[in-house]
Amino acid sequence: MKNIKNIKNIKNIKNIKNIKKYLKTGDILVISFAVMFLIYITFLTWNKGKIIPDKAVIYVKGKVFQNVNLYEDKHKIFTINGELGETQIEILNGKIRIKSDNSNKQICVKQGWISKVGEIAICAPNQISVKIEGRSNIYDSIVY
Amino acid sequence: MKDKDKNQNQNQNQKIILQVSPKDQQIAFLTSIAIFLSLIDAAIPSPIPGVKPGLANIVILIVLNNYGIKEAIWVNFLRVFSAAMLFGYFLSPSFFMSLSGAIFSLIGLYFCQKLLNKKYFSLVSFSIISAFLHMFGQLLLARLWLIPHDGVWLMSPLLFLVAAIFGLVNGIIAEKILE
Repeated sequence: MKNIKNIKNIKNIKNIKNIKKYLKTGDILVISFAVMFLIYITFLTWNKGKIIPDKAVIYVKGKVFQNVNLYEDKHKIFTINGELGETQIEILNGKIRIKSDNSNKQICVKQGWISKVGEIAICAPNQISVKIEGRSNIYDSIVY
Repeated sequence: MKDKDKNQNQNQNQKIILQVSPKDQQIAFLTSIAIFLSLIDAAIPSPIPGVKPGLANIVILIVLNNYGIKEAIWVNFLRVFSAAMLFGYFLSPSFFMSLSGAIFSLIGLYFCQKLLNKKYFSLVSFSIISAFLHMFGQLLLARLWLIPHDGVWLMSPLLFLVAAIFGLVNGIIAEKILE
């Protein structure tokens, strides 16, 4: 067993040394630039959650029904009447979710907590949607 | 045999001889290899739809190294068009994604060849730059045409990571072949 492991270790080292044969000095520069670019773009695109969400807007039948401040009450549950029936919405610690709904597929309930700017929970059958809007909203409008 | 004689008699009046230089044959051969690699590309399953190892770019790099940017452009576009027609996605969004990626990567290769000294930069850097530009070109087309929503850019870290990895691997393979 030990002999096989030794052979495998030697092969791994040989592979890495073989690869380094093909790389010239400029390549290492390009590779490091690529890594830096990757880190930069990760921070650029995946960091948007840091914008402080201001409020959650509840849309009923496409129109703004209510603006809810996420930080007003620590824990709050309220009910909204939609097309098919009642939808329960829960706020806890600055996050909001649709707690229960009358729909078949329960997609909006399964989505769970939303807290970042731009996140939406949509109950299509009941025509109720909850959207988080923040102070510095980057996109003025989103066209689908 | 009889048909051949007939054709020869007909053709003797209008002879159109296509001069095919050996270089043309070489390039056609390499293009066919690129198309074949495109097929293998499409056959490899990937967790992210549409993200492929880009094995045909190995051929493009080799052509760039041996022949020049003009021939590389020819091979790349021939590969994109032929693969699209062969596999049935000509003029579909997939084809245009391929095409935009090819255009951007070729622009990158052109500038790479002009600016980067071959002594310090091997094909690996060409490959990585080309892969990044390819991915960027596809993301740009997706943003402008297919998914007009800024959420497209959210995928970019992952996509560019894959592009970097496969760019590196393809570059090393190309270098190894050219040894």
